[in-house]
Amino acid sequence: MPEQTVLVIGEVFIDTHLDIIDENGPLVRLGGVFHAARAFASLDLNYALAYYAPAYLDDDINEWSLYLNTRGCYKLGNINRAPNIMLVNESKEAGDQGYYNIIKDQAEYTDLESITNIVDIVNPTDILLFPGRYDTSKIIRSLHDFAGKIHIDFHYDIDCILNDIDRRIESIILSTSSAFYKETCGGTLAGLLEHFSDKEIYQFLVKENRGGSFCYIPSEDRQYESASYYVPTMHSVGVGDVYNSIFISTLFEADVAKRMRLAALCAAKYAETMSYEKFKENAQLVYANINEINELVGIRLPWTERKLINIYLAAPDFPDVDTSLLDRLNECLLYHNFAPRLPIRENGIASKALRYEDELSIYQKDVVLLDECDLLIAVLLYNDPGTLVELGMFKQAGKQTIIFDPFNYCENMFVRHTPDYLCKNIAEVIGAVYLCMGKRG
Amino acid sequence: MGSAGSGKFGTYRVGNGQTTGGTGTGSGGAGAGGGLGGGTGEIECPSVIENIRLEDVAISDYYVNHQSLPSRGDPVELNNNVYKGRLVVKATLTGEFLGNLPTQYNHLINCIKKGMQYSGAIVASGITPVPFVVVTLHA
Repeated sequence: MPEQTVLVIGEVFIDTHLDIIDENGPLVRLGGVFHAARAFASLDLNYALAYYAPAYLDDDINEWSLYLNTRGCYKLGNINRAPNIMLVNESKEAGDQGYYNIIKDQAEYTDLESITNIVDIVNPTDILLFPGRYDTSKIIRSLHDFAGKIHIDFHYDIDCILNDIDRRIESIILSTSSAFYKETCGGTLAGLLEHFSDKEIYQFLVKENRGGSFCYIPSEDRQYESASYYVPTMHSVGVGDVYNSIFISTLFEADVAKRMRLAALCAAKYAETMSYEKFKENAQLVYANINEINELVGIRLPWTERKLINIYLAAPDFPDVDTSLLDRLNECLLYHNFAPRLPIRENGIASKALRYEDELSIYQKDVVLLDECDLLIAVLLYNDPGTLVELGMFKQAGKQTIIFDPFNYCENMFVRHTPDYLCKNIAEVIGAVYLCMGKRG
Repeated sequence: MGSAGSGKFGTYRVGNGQTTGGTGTGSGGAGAGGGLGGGTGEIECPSVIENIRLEDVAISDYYVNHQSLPSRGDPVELNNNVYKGRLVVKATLTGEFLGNLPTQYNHLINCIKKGMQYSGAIVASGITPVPFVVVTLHA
């Protein structure tokens, strides 16, 4: 069997991380196909690039692809009238990351080279395709007679790209952050299989963010799973692309589960740093020690199960209080498919004008809600007595609790030692929720 | 009038904010102030991890063997290999396992494999209401 060479097809962006500030301002680096390039390069795997980008980026693309030891870097076409600069508002993906592609709607794509010519030169065994706003359908149609394996990251710009395609596709790769999976497929494997029922797909990979991943192979009717690995997350941009690259590699040959574990570990290592050198060092360490590190327990919390996890948000959710952080936390939990519960919005507010029996009714409904919930997050917008009492009641019921203390109110001994996790920002809270509710595996 | 902007690609350097710690409750504490969490915040191999409450103390070797726990100030160290899926802290004097490091510190395996060794001391221990050990470790 020939040694694997992967041709990565897609666009190049400038990722601009508005929330990661170094001495030069917001952190910038080459994104798009370069995330996969870093993954392949980190483990010395053979790959080449075929890309669309604005002409002003060509010198940098060539320089960095050489640095990343590519077997070839070929330009498919130009992007005119738009810079392909992707602003990232929220790198850690506590919630929706707020990607913003500057003047994307006026971008014009012009072809310079045909994909078949590039395939003839590179002679890849595999193609990893990242659809874009270029004519992705045309690229796939041109690959009709390609004898190797085609893997498609089915996330962005996927409308109709497989229409009229009758060749076998090796991998359809999805993520629970994609609208296609959540909405078109209903966030389920059954919905996914139904959508692709008239296509020949060898395997489906679904990456479930910090809750792990699964791979379903229809011909075996078998599902493989992998946990995710908690790291101090610095960013989540391109992390899924790293997973894709290791997943489609031939490392460990037929051992799909082990390769998924390596992919998850390398993805975690990518999320931990913006330094390629540090990522490469860590990825190689993981690979060299995979048999031992493979034993480490990770976190598994499937997307579909998260909807069943009720999370009580204890907070002074009153009209005269700025609750914007509570609202944002609520949005972030919904983004991760959890079921946050806001007692005041569900059961009402106990104003001073209420009659005794009406106030008692609200109190009892809140106690019932506390009982129904699996996890409590106390949001200390200030030292609100109601929030702290709810925290204590919940903890005493033997369930896990998290304090979100954005303004450093948490000084009292009982308050500090009661929660399982004490967090200072929403990214930490989301990480702690997975640690509390995920299965160890 | 001048303008601000990022200089060029490849200027990112890993910072030196090399400390992280628990709060007595097991939180990883790398975040900046309030809000969503920004800043570079990149910490991989902390020089100190403070006040970490170990897990599974009651079923770990030391407590099972002695029905007691070492005292505050006694030396401890992080085991250099994964044991039953976990990173384990052991009593330096006897070599017996005291408990598991919480899973959010599993990423320290890379630091260990790079040759870093974590050792430290017991900050607090006791057997009521349940056996517990809190440690601080230094690289």
